Amino acid sequence: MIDRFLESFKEEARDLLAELELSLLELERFPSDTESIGRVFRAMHTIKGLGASFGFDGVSVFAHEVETVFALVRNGNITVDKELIDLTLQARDWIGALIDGSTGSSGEARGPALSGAFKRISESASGEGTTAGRSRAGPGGEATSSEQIICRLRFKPSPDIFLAGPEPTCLLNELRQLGECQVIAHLHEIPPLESITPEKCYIYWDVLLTTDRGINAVRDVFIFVEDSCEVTIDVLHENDGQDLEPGYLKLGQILVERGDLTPEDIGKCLSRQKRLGEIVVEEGLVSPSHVESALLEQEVVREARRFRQGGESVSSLRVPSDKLDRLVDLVGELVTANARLGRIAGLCDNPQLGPVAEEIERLTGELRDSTLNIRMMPIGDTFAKFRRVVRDLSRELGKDVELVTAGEETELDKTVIEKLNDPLLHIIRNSIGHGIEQPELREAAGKARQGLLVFTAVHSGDSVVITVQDDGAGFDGEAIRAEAVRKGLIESGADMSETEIFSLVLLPGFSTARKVTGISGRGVGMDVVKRTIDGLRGTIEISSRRGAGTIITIRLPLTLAIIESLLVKIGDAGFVMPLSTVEECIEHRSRGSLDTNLANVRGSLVPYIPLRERFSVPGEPPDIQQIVIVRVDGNRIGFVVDAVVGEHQAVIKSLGVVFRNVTGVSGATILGDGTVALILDVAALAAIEKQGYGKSPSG
Amino acid sequence: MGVPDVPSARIPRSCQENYQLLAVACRSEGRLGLKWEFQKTGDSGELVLSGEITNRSLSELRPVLVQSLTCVNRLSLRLEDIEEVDLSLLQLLCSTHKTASLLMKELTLVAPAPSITRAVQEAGFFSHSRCSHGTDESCFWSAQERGPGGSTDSNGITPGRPAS
Repeated sequence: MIDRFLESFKEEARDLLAELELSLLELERFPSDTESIGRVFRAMHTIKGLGASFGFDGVSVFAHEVETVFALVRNGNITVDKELIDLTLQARDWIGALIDGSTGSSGEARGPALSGAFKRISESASGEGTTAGRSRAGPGGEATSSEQIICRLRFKPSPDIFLAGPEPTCLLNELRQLGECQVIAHLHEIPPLESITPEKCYIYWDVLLTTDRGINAVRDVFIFVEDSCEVTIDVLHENDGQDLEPGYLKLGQILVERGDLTPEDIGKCLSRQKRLGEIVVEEGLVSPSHVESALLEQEVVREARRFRQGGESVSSLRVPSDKLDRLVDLVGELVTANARLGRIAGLCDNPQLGPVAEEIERLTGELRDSTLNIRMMPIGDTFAKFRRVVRDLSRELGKDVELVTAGEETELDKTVIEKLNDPLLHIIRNSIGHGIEQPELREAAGKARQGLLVFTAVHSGDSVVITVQDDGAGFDGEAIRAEAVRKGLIESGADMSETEIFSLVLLPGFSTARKVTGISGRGVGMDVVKRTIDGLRGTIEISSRRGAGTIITIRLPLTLAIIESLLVKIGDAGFVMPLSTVEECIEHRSRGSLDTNLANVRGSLVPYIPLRERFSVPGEPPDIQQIVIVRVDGNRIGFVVDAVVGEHQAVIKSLGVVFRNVTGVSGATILGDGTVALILDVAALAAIEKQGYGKSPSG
Repeated sequence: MGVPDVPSARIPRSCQENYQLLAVACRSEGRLGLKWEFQKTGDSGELVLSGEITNRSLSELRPVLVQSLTCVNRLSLRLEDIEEVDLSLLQLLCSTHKTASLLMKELTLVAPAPSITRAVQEAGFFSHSRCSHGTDESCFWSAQERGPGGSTDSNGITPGRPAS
């Protein structure tokens, strides 16, 4: 049980650290972005609280030091610079190591060194005298209690505070250091120019403060002005739940519940009615700022309640991924069983069975979509991880690279995303290592000093297209060709298109880098990328222009579990092809020995592969066969089959270790009649055909 | 260039006294370090404030604001090279806005520096949606926070209602 809680803490902390890293990188780009500063502060605050709750005192104490610094940043006492970002990123890594227990032997010195660095920053900022309140509340020594309270303050300074008192804004900033703070200034007492005494203060404030420091810490802020200023502090809401709203329903709610009125009717009537705030302002009873202050109080209290209740009722649930995988497997079985049921219902001609089978088919479809949807994750999290990689790598190489991402919300199956991490990392390392030039070289070439790396993801049919684009030096087609000739991969003077030449870098052991570095140039990487993408039933394409940059396009299926496919037959054997690749089907009459394996499709020649021959299926083909034309790597290619059965939802089953090395098929699926159909890897079949006629698929 | 066409009934007495004092363009350096420069074009004018604005120099600034507001219908205010802004200056600007509203004139703060925006934020002035002085206008400061994307002009702020 304890382990389960611990694991849940670790997961939550890792999520927070990921968010923290993202916010820090954002802050590095926009150092005065108050939202990012707030996010960093809140992440540290939550990590501190979580650490303390789960007995990770080291994490809690360390996070406190960082939080203290960011409280000062938030209040404008410290400005964000690269050094602070560096230090905080290191702190983030250190907290990660503390949580994972991977601090290592060097950690003994690293933790205190980092902690000391943050302490020095906060002390030097406090030493400037702008954070008197903090020194009273005291980093480390402050009386943090777990009980959170909402205070309503009215602070009416003495009229001569501008001349003989502290700047009121400083006091407000001290309050801000105690917690979430909403400040509303009341300005209505400021007279017009003709009667104003500029040295006199006419402003007063309402403040709503949510804090866990206790009421005394709030009172302490006004300790030096309490005799000359009017300060009232009321506690609005404490976590003991004493002030919960009574559970009665409003009139409108009751009428709607009884069915006497619709919510729309209520909305219409209410929109005609003037709000109390408007009435009291119109009557001149209060100023608009008083109403706004009261509304804000309502909002803050409501938010606090929502937050507290949110802690009690679960809005999302963490589920181990293996349970989800099991669910997807079961849904896959159900889809297969449903196909069988549909077939039997079609054969039986039973009027009662038909509608039931249809209903089950509809429900199965919905269940399949919902289940697969659970495993869908936005690719943005993967992109976000690369921000740090890009930052660290470009610094290491003395380059200046900006990473721009788009389409973060694009969703892909969890398993696809997990496997995508390494290929994308290889591509980034190549882009920064080889593609994007040093700033001086870029400047000399008339480019901006800062290189650009653009990641985009977009849905396209049942695939997701991910592109990685850089504005670096681009591929040197001639160098690639020369290297390929030297390695014996192609004939000297071979007639190849630019795309084909670039594709050579995806072959195993290919590298044109003169120097082997830790970044890239070992000749491993791009072939691994290709292999992984192939394994995901995806495709990869490279386009590049010398001096202008490179675009790598990866097309991936949305899911690896179930695909929409086209079922075809050769003899009694069934085969399926991913429907997304299929363009059209045409009739084909065999001409025996005169066959040239080229079909004339509306005037253009399309090469085709007779699958009966390829898979050595015994028996004679029918007189009229079908050619299924698919698009592979931008080229059209046909597959000759006996008959096209129709669309089929293929639940993908792996072929097992024995058939791991079989090329041309990527898996199998079970058909409605219980027989097995192979899933054709059309890209691999086309590649085999291209490499040489007459060779059957290896296996 | 003649004096602007402002209905005298709407101008408070103290402003009327200073009404004729302001030339088309003038500049001055106050005893307490405040510098100001006023430029008038038609019924619009721009008042540029620079130098050190302290609690004490505000008493010098008040008549300058009164006079500038008096002789134009649209006044743009530019705070140049002013890094530190304290609450008393913000209060005086709020008062200027109130006066502009009473005179049915338009007051615009031109491209305020981030330090000014921060001071306004820290003072809690940004939280209003409507003017605190009981007029129907949007708040001078919140209009500033919304920036050019909101219901503001190209300069960022339209705190006052144009003279009609």
